[in-house]
Amino acid sequence: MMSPDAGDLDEVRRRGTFLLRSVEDQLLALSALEYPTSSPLRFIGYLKRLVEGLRKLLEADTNPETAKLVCRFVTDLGSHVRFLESASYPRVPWAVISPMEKLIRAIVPTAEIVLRSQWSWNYRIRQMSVRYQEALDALPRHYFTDSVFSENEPAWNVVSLPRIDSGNVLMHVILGHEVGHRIADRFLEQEDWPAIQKEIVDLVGNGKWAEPDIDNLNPLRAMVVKNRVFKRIDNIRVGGIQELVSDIVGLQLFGPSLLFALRESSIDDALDGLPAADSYHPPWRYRYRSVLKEFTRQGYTELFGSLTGSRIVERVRDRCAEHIARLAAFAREQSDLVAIQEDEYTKRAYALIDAVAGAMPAFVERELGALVFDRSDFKAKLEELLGLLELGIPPISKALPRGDFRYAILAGWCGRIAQLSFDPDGEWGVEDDITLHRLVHKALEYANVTEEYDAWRRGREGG
Amino acid sequence: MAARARRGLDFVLGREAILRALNEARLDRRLIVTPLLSETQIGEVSVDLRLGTEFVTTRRANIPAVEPLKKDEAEVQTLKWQELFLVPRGKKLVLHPGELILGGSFEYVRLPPDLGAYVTSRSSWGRLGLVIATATAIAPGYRGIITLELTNVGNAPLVLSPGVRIAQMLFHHIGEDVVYRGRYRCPTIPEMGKIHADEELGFWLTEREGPR
Repeated sequence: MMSPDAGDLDEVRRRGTFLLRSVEDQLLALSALEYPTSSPLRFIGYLKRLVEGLRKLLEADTNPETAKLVCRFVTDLGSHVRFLESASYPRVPWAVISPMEKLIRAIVPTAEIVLRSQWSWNYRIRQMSVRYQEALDALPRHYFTDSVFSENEPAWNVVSLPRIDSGNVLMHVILGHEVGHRIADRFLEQEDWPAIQKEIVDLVGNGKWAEPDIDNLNPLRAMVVKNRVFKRIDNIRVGGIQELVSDIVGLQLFGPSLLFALRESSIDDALDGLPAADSYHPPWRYRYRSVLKEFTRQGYTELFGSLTGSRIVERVRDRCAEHIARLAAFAREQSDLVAIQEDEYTKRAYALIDAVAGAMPAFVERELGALVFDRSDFKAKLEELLGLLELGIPPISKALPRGDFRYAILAGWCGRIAQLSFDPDGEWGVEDDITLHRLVHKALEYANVTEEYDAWRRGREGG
Repeated sequence: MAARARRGLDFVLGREAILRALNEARLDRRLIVTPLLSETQIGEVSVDLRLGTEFVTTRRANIPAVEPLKKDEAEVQTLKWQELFLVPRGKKLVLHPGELILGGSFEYVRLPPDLGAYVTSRSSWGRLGLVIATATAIAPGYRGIITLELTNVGNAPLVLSPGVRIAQMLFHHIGEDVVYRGRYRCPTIPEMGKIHADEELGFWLTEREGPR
């Protein structure tokens, strides 16, 4: 008679084998889809090798718990194939991929990205390689040396953008904020953690403000309460720093476009919502204030003020000034700060955030180096691109550095804010925004191809 | 007549005139063909256009017939029987004998208000059986990519690839400035026709009422 363990193992193995086969079948079907770049196909290859490793492990290992772990992992993996389905053409704004890939690689050199759209409204970068490494860490590595634990494998990232805004290329500068999280991680890593711990311990104090009955608790229970309070303050602090640094990265990478995109992405959100357990983001008003401060420090207010020339350029100047003034008015109101002060946890966490906020811009600037948005000739570049856009031409110019798509996006934002119409007799309508998005998308395609064509020609002439 | 010919009003623009039009100081009167990756695209009387990366093909669909005259039906049918697809740089597109695929020029074009244009095949492709356009006139003021109706009239499958020089554009002066009022609004991908947008269809598609 079979022992219960052996029966269990057999049953779990059968389930695991089926799940692996199912994932394999799906990967095969996904291999047949058309993708704008070869990255999704390479990611499929990586997943296939991972599945093969899991199959070998399942066959060789006699521990039912290992087999169960494989089943759980494969179930999770099965849900990731949706990333590939939504990475196929035309579900993604394909011209965005290459420039974003280059930008992300400049910050995280080993990164390879699969860009996909998702139905829920969110921008997100999932570090798949890291996730798989953590999940499989307890298992024998030799099954995964050609996939998850391969030294030659790039760091796979799935970059998600919202399907409803997929065609709205202007919004995708939020990916600058998302990649900023990697720099925010570095900002947090360089902190003096023992000193911060001490500061948080001081802020927790006797803990009575959080738990009035703490003196009546036994010492162990009181310590648990204090630890919980400590953790919550630190979570709010880390969440706040993550978002604020990432916003500054986005602004330094994409210039004013990031400010405009942040505003549009938060247009229906409460401005004074405090950080909560499901999202430790600072209140939007606080973020506007922080981004506007950096916007001003970078001199964009004056740069916009300097725009002169054609009717459209001056309209852009005036409309952008109005737009920025409206955001500044939001930021001047102190209702978020009042709300922060009224919440005992947030008040303490934000005392720590405020203490380091001043160091964020310089830190980000050092990290980004030459990637910082080029403000030289801002006026001339923008005026030229707006002139093209006004005539219904993709905003790309020979005068701009090849491949730098960021001014094309900024020109798009300016046209959007100025409610540029492409109808010779018409008033602005939503069709104009859709046309604008298409033209900027085209400009991104052109920026990328011209850069690569020029490099090919130089190589050919040089050789 | 001789004076008009000297001003180039009646004739196809030559290389010098094309270059002048491309370098016109006033942006709103400039001929724009962007991006012009290579100067060699400017020929003696034409500008070479490259094949773009996005295409529209048709597929079998559960529809009785194509109804291009009725807007609502045309729009739904379009989604049912047409498919947009991408051929990235470096990949190939196979055009089978008798097949129609809509492609687009890689370049985006804007004609100034006093220039018209024609798009024609390049003879090298024509000799292989490729027809690239049947509606070739481009109106002054038009802006957008040029949609190409790619048909293989030969009897062997034909391999195409994005970026190849596939068509040429010839320009001619118009005696007056024209404001473009066509149906195509800055297209950036190949688009199907918009016959249903003809205003007078309302008359021609309505049966006559009352005594005859």
